[in-house]
Amino acid sequence: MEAVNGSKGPVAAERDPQALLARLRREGVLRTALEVGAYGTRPVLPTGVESLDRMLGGGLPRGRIVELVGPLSSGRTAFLWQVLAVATARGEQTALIDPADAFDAAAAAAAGVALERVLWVRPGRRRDAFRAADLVLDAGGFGVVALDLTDLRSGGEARGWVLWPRLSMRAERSATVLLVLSERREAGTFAAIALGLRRGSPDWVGAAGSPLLLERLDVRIEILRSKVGRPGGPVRWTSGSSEGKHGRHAA
Amino acid sequence: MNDRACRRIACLIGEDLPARLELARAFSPWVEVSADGAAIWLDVRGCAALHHDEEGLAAALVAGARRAGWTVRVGIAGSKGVARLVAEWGRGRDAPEGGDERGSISARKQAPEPATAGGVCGAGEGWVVVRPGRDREAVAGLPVAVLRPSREAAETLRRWGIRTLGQLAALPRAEVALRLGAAGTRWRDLAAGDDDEPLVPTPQPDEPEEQVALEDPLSEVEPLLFVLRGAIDRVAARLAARGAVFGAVVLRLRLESGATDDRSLAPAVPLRDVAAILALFRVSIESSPPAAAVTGLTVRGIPAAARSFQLSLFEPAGPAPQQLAVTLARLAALVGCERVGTPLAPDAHRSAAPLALRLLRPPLAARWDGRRLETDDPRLRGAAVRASGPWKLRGGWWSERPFERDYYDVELSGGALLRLFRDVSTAAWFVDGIYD
Repeated sequence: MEAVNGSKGPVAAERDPQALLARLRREGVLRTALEVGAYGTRPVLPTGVESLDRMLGGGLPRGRIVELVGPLSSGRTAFLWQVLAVATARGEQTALIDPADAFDAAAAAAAGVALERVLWVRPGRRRDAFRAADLVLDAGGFGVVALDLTDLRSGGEARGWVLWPRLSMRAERSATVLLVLSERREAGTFAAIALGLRRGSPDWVGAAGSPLLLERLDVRIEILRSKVGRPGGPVRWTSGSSEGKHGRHAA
Repeated sequence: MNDRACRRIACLIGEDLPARLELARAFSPWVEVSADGAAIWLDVRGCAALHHDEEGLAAALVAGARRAGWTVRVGIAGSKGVARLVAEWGRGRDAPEGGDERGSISARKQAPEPATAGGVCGAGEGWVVVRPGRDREAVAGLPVAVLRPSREAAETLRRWGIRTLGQLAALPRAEVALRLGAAGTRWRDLAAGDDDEPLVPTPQPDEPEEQVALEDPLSEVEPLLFVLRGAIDRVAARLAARGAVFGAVVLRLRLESGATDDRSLAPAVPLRDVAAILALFRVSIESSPPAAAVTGLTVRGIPAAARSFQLSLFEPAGPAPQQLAVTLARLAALVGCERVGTPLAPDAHRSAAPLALRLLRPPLAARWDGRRLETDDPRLRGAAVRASGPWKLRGGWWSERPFERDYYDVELSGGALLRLFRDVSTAAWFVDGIYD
């Protein structure tokens, strides 16, 4: 407490000590000894989003299910690419189960994903997506397995809730981060962490009367559920390249 | 007793070499095929006890061939040469009186049978067994022509008055060597029962094969896999004996209709795990069952060297290669070969999206008037809050499918950020993807 009270800047400017403590705990800056011990021994995969990693105790917990939940254009895919880029840069093998066949390899490579370390599986049906995830997790050795359930055209298929215990067990056995992308929470209590993503305003640039350029996306990431820490957030993260419209020309 | 005295060699003479090899390997692991392919020798030391005695062993060899529908003649003796002679000329065979080594026989007559009296040989239908240590006596009555000497050597022997192997064996070895050379020495040793040419095992065939014939046709998966497992097990053992593993596996199912059903597995890395191979065949059979009940099967293993992999000190360990190969094969069986693999960026200049984009494959047909978007998907329709474009893209003019498109970025009131394009040639609108 002394260190906090004695520090300068925005923390010292907080008037109410209780509010200050609550905020610091919410942001993951202050942690209990139990949490510190748990974080110290739990293997994690950093996301590269520093403030989120701090709240998560270092990153996404290995061997657990992590859900990325949000509506269309909320930044789930961008965050997935961010995680894949970090993992593949560390030399880890990753897998993407993509029933919607929506993966844009060129753009992902431009975002830093090392494609040669990605196993891309495109099952035609949602049911096969679960079976494919099961097979990949069973093989072991993958740092991240992403199961993309954001399928616009298979909304009528039955939900695969019965497979979550199995996938959870497989992920734990292989120490793999199983990332599940969806519009609503799917894994229920089997998810160790659920991250809710919301989109801020998109960053359109351009003067009035000239063509606008869609540059960046402001994403708010909130920890909706956490078995290894506590819910918190939101943290802000900006998706998109500052280089902008590479190769695009206004008519 | 020295080693030569302990040797017991069986010789199989017949027509079908692969079938004879299969039969021989079922009786002994030490099998040699003669250079001309006519004879197969087996080292049968210690094998006789399994069939009561050597006569039983010889009879079992003949019966095994007969069950498979072909005939074989068997000779068992203390050397390769004598075993072959008694197999070839043992009973009821025509022995040549003279000839050359190309086998042109000038005259034939009924060959004298090997001496069966006095306990020199045991004989039955299709087989002759020479008692241990009696090789010389067993072949003593055979004409020298059975050795297929050259015309000159045959003439020399005729001039010497040597008609039978017994007479040849009585000649001094050094004198024969002086006059007939190395070949003459070999003939004399063979006739004297002193042939010590070693049995040099012929390597297993490149692609070991196991066949199973079923008494009753099988029409269900589990019993078929049960039978298949045994065959794969045996092929795996034969591959392992030479330090190899499965590079690929070929399965041929013989169907009740008379047709065959061929399937093959080519895992990404060589496999030794029988359970994994069986699992892959299970996937294959379950996904496309044979057209009729199965009456038999053949498993052929394509050998490959087992690979060793060096783990990196500085990179995380990935999936075990063999396990990954099995997983890839299972995934391919589940979703199709063309839908599993490593993504490749297309080899074309396309505009890189500034944000992460979820592509719609194929693009979704849409109606766009500059203010409102209509599609068949309720989540991808509504009034536009903001739009930008067009970003023109033209390409493929060098191919049969040129394209020219105008791209737009659109933000809908519902929150979706979309990329649209208009096909200039048809003026049709499509949703290309969703920024996410």
